[in-house]
Amino acid sequence: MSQRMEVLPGVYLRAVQTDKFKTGCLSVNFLRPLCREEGAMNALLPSVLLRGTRRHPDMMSISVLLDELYGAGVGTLIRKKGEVQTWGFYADFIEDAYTLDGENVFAAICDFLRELLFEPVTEDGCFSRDFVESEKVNLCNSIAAEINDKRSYAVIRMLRTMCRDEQYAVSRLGDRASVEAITAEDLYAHYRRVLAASQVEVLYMGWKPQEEVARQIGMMLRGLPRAALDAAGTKIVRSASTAQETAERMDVTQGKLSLGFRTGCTCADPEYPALQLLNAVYGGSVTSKLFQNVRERLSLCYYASSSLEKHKGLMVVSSGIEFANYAVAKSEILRQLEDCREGKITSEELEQARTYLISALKTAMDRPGSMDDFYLGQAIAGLDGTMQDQIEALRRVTPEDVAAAARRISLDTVYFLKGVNA
Amino acid sequence: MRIVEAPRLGECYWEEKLENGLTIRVVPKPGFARKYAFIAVDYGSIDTSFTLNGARVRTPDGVAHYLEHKMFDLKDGDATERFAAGGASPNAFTSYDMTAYYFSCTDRFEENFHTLLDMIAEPWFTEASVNKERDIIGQEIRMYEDSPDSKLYENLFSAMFRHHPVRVPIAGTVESIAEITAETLNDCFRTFYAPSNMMLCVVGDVEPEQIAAWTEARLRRECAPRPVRDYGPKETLDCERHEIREAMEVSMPMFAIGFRCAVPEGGRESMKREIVGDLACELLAGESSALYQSLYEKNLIDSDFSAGFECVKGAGLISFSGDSQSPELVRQAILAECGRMLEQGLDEAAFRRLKKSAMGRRIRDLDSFESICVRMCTNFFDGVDYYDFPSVYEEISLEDVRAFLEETVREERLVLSIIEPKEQN
Repeated sequence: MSQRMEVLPGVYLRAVQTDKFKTGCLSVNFLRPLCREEGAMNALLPSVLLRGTRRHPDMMSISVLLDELYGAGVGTLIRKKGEVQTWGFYADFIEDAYTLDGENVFAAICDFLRELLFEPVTEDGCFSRDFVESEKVNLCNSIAAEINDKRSYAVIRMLRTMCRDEQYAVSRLGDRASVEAITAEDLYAHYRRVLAASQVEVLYMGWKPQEEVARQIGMMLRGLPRAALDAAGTKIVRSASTAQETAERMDVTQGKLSLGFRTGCTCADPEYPALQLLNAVYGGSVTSKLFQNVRERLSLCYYASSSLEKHKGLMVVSSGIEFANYAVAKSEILRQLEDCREGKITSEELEQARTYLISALKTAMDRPGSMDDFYLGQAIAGLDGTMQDQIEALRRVTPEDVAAAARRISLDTVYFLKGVNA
Repeated sequence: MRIVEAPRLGECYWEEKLENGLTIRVVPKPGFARKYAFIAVDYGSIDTSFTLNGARVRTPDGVAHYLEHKMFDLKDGDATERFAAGGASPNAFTSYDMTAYYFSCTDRFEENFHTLLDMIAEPWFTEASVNKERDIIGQEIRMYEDSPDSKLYENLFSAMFRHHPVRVPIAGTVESIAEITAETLNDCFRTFYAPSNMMLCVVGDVEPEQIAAWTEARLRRECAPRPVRDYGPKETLDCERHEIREAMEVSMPMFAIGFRCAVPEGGRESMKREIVGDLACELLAGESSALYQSLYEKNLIDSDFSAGFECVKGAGLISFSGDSQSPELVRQAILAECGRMLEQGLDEAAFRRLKKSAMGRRIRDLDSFESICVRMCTNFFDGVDYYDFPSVYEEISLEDVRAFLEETVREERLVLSIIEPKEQN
């Protein structure tokens, strides 16, 4: 496994060389502090850049280029990791060995990403107004579309209530009013500023050796202006003061219950592996207490699960239930957590959870997308550890560590999406 | 076992047909920690009516999916828990024409593989466990009822097909599953879970001969009589109804425009039809087409727009779907652009480029263990070999695509399905 290296000031590359796949992957990520002032602009920027470059001035010419590169994919990528927002591009492409005459597809992709980043279509010294206005409409539509999937919508609403006084309440894509206010001039000025003032993380997985990747990335980013970097980090609230309940009505047939907890621990803390195990025992897998009790024993739902937001120190429980079962489902969900706090975890439950997590990490090493996300997360958290290190740490966690992790968790917010007449 | 090699794809598989009729394929993936085993049954939600031993049988909608849930019952407990003990992640799905059970793991493959075989070899559910599952599946159905993506296509199929059972949702309805008993499930198991009606695929760094030996030893030998499936009376390709709308809690209208098309019975022709259909969609409305660019620039579609061919046992269509404030304008633009293309002649250079692009993406699909297994089994049940796709691409001509578009993209064949936002009070 290769080390993360600085290829330009504030620009880091992690290149994982592997010949297991027929697909190579590359992502270029600009790290920004998550905040209302720039959230929408960061989300809009890559979509505007992907509309055209000087050499490929419209979507059709870009698509033709990607077709010729054996159906390579280039897309925008906006991520939210705690209170860090990243914007950038993701590319996946065929490895040279599978091309008809051994073309260097990776070099062509790097060159195209260079165009996207530094050679946008401009008019009067700023972005094309047509591109900006058209992508604003698309972004507003994407933001509005969060209600379409009721399961994730309930979680988003819960988190927004829970963190309303924190930057974390800002959506990954920003908010509608901010998007509507953006002008082509604003966006261009923002673009010039964030190019210079952002830490950049580049991740590569594929056949090429690190030296060659570093050389290509160096060429790709040679035009990158550099200035003092804006800090991007996450403020942690270790525990909830009091638990609050909130509900919303919508014309749906199934209720969606979502509970938000403060875990008192993030991936940067030594107790994090114990928290991961606690989550797996509690609601992170099909053998978990939530699945086994809320679904299998009580037949209350099709899904009941918990997940962690490791940068912000949150745990989220989510379940789809009959409206009338709100109280019984909620109390069962909390009772199972209470059992964990009291150490009522069998060695079988713990070992299954441990095996599950270790296997998931090993499997992730066989998936380029998972590796990309893992190593970006590590870079944002300022961590060096590899997946293998995480596996070792999970092996050392004791039952008491897991119960202690459960005791650090506090309930912050309960949200229920219910029917119009429920 | 025999080996089938596809040097151009950098792939191969080992194959054996067991005495009991089960076909096994093993795709070696050296260097991967992950191992993946997949058993597919040629039985899906559409197989509700059939003739068995001369008698006509009609089973409740949703029975294949219900059975999938209950196959996780074992003689001594639950397969999910046993997989968990072995560190495996199991799952299953039911589609219109297939039921599949699979797991992936990194260690203790043998133990997990035996759990998969035990699961599929014999049903162990009881009347009580079947009844208990009904509320869980009921909640799953409620979840789909609130899902606009599911509804969009279910509505499209229900409008497009008069008799073909693809018009019924895969999981059935809360009412139809009320009729399902342990006996129903047992009968369906006996009818469809015969080894000759299944396929096993294993992908990973495993020993092929060992897989065959383990399977031979565990899977029952008897061969049940084959059911004769009934998908209803033959239908014309013209659709009676051309539009279907439903209001849901969505932010903007979602649409799917389907054109019904003729599909071959199976074999190499069915693979060819799929690829011709996909290429026709790309040429007409793919990202590098003039139509896509023009619709996108007018904000009539966004980057979620997609187009492609779908086929389920005799029910075939191409569909164009996405989000739009004016789905009717998208429909009109597709018809007009196809007319223009047919009149002015199709672009040979664009066709060659799209073939190269589609082939590249197909080759990259071979990185996905899931995709390999699903395609391998789907193609096998259709009577064609998955690895034939490069040669099928080669033999497809621009004329094939032109003829397909001319025959298919017509108003008589069209259904527009729309999920529109509820009126705000």
